[in-house]
Amino acid sequence: MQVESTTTTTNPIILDSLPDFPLSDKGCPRRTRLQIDLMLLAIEALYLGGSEHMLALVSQLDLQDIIKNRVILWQLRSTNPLRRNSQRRPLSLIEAKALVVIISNLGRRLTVRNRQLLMDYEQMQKKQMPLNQHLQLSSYLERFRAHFRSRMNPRRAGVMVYSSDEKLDELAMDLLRKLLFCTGTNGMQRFWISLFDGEVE
Amino acid sequence: MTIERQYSLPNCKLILQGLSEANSNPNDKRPLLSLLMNAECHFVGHPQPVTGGRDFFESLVQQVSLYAQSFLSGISSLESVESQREIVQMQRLDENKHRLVVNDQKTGEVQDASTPNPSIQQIDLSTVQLFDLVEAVDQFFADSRTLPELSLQLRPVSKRTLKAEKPVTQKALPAAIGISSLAVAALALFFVPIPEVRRPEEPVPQSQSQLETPESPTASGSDDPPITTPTDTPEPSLESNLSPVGSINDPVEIERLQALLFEEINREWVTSPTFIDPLIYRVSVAPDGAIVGYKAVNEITPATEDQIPLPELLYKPVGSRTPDEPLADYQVIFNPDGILDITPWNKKTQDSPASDSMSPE
Repeated sequence: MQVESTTTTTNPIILDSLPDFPLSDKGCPRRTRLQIDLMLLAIEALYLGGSEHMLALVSQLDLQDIIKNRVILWQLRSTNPLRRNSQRRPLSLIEAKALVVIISNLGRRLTVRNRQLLMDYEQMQKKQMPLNQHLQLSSYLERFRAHFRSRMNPRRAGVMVYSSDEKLDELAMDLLRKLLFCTGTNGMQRFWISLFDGEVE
Repeated sequence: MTIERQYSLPNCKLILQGLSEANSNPNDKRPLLSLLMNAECHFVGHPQPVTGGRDFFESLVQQVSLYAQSFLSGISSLESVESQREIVQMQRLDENKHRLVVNDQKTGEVQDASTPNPSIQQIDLSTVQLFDLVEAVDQFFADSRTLPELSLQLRPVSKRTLKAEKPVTQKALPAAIGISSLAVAALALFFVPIPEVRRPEEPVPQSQSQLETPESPTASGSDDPPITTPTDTPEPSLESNLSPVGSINDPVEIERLQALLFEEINREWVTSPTFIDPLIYRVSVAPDGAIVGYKAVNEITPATEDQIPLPELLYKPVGSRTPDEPLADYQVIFNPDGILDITPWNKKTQDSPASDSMSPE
């Protein structure tokens, strides 16, 4: 009979496409944790009920062994060092992989809208039109700012740089662009590898 | 028979023409394209495609792949710096513009210096167009019937490649002192006499009160001017020692940064300590809270240093920092019981003489 502790050997196949990296016992590096949570935040701002979709995907993709429930999902996301209730726990490789799979899958669902928003944004920039004239774009940015401000600790240096609306909008657009690159044929792998740039030997 | 393969995306179309091996099965519905004759990459809005042979195509897929990775991580490797010699180069113009440069001049060819180079082609892509190019390349990689020997090779940029981008001055510093990111910071620390080390027996309650105080001044700091007490003015001799790099003197600012530093280190210090003696560091912080340098005050082995988050938190020179930005220095003590203790460096060195002079009775 299988014991609980052996679950790591029976990981969902979908995670096998993402390579392992040697980590210290502190788990995933700081930038990895930060980037993963910010990407999920952008998805939530783009997708109403985003966190419910994340949980639904957990069972669809057979990731329940890693993300057992909503509290665990919150704990994993809260390993982001900028969070108000940042968790004093490491994020393991397997947990990070599960989150990356979720990001890539939700990103794919949102590809059409994402492309449209990015192209519209570019047009508006060219014509120097204010972004608030674009309903979808401005509501994405507004939701992103609200999510970011309610969840990130304003006293942390990494958060202070985003104190103005303009800076947060730039971050939101940057994440939207990156999210597009997570969606392609090899997008998930590309995103995963990029999370460890400058962090491995 | 010529075989043509197309990978079409809304903004980009990649067309490969080539031949299959002579001994391949003629009834094969999708014969293997094993010899590339020509590669074309069309972009919407650009009438002229970029074209070339095998060398061009190999360079294209490699450079596009590397660029996509640095786009996602914001970190560029040494390889992309070395890409000058590549036929295809990618450059970031701004957050939404990417330049594809194709220099299809043969490397061995003797070039007449008097003629301007007509073989350089340049196409500026938006992020969505860039994505379509990356996707066309990825669809090619996924196609096992076209040049199967070219496959997607992804690996993270190594620390070593990243380190190589740091200023040369820093590499020259002996590694034994510990890592210190900005050469200026290291230089400033070098001139300061090693201070007397106080054991952290007494400061636990006191340090907590020091850590709480910054909250109120930062919240209302803009309105009330800071109350100046004799201890707030820094010791002149130390000041002159520090003058090569501007130091932060505003007490409100020093307290704000102290709170930030505490948050930052405390958050990242997740492993329970196995060391027995407290680890004492001098840490330099920039106005945005970034840790730009640190130096061990007592003797600390690399294995012990692995247990604390300072190496991880050290600002990695991804963007650019102004070399002469003002810094604030703190004494950071990692206690074996897991308690973190942070005091401004000036205050720490002043404390003992100040308390002496304050008790003349």
